[in-house]
Amino acid sequence: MDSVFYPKLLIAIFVSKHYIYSDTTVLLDHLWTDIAVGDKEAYSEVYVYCYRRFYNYGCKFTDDVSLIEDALQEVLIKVWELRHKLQSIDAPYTYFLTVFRNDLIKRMQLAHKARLTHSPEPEPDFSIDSIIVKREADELTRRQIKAALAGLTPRQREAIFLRFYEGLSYAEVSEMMGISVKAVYKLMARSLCQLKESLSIPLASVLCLLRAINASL
Amino acid sequence: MTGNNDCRQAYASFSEEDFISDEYFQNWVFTPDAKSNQFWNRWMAEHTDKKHIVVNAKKMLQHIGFKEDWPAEERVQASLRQALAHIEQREGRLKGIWRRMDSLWKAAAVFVLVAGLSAVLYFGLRPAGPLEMVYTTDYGKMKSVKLPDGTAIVLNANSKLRVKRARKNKPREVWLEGEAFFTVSHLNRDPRKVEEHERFLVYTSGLTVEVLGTSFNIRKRRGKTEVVLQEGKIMVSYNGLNKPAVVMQPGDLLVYDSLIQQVARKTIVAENYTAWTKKKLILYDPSLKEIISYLEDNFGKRIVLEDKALGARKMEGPILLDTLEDALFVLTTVYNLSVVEKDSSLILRTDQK
Repeated sequence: MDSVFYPKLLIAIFVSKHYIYSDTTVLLDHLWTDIAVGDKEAYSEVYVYCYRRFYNYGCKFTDDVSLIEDALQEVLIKVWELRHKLQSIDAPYTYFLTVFRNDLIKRMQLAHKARLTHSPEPEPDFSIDSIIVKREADELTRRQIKAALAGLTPRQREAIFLRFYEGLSYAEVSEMMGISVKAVYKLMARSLCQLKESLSIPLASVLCLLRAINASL
Repeated sequence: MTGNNDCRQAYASFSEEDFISDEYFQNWVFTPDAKSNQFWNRWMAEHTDKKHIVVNAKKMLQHIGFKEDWPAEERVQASLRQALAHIEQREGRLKGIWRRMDSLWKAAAVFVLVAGLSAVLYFGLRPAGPLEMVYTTDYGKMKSVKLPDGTAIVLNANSKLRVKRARKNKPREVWLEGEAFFTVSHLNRDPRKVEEHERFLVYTSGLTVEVLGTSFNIRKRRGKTEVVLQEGKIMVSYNGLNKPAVVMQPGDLLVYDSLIQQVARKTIVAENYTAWTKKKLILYDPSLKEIISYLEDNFGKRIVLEDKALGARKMEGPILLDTLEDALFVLTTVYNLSVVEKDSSLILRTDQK
């Protein structure tokens, strides 16, 4: 299906008029530099690019598009306001993605309070249907991945999204979410492999049993 | 990062699990380049006995996908315009002019500014009204909304409608969560030329419906959006999906599932879908599961069907779901069920003969 992309490949939709580089990271790097010296066209390009990507991320937390749009505008205006300091920010994309995340979650909590419900504030919930198994996967792979994903907490799902979809490094995800990301992937990998073992056990144990019976005869 | 040649030895003892969680390996799977391709192809050639582990780990990673939600392109552009205007306004020309003025002119400018401000305050700031209005309905409640342009909207239970204040030369825009029936007032005089402010746009998270004077129903629940057209003409586009927009005819039903991003179209009797506006919730040939979803969405009760197999059974003909009590009465009679209330949810239990 055309809507399911490999992480980062999606970036191909971002076609710049002025900068044509094969690698988007390089492209974005140039744009950030241009913003720093006050180039509004570069700013507009980054605005549109980040808007789309951040929107997609925000939708995993809430259906309330108005909250996402408000947070987006505020954060992306900050990109311009902070342009003189951009040079000192290591990874501007990740930095503003983090700002957006925190801003959106604050807005969600405020909206929750405004509803006058007395239930405690819900933890940000990275929706479970955000991670899917691609169509072309065979039945065994599908079951393995599904089972592995079912065992993840919302935060772990988010970490997987940030690493595999947004292409953030382990270190970045770790810093952004304040958790040891290595642990998350270990966990995911382990559950993937565990299930595979459990699926192949019946045959193996039957063979063992037969051998045991043979030996005893 | 474990990418250099020294680590090639370490990979020899790797299990599938280790590969899946290795950052350098992941980078190769997701963004392969000449260097990593060369590295892994060579590694597999040197470790033929381990090759299947690498292949499996790669397959596992490659089949993990992510649902994507894209904003409508016009929303992105509108937001960018607003942001640029905001920036312009804050630091734009004023600053430059100010720097070039000498002090006498500055004093004069301040005086004019103060005088102007007081005049505005004195002659009254006419409140322009809020930037947007939000209408919400509780479970089991409906609401009629009349917009300044004459458009009438009936909001079904458990729904939310945001209406942007009318602006000059801008389309009318509303955002919907839940279900609503629109009777849009037709502003267009010259069909060959549609002015910007004559347009009417409805946004849901998955779809944008562009209206050209019409009545239609939108239901957005559980990630699914259904659009039913009763009269007139509307155009439906998919937010951020690379699919052509669809022009709908009266009696058309369009169902868009944003989870699997699939679209289904069929022809139906529009009145069956819009009957709820006359305080009659009617579903046509529904399965028991569909009825239960509908009752949950509109009356806010959790309803559990004990015998899951019953869920697929269809009711014949239309069913009137006016009040929760009436609906439950019909269901329990037809399917031979009884209702047990437990922890604020309703359990439908099959009666023992």
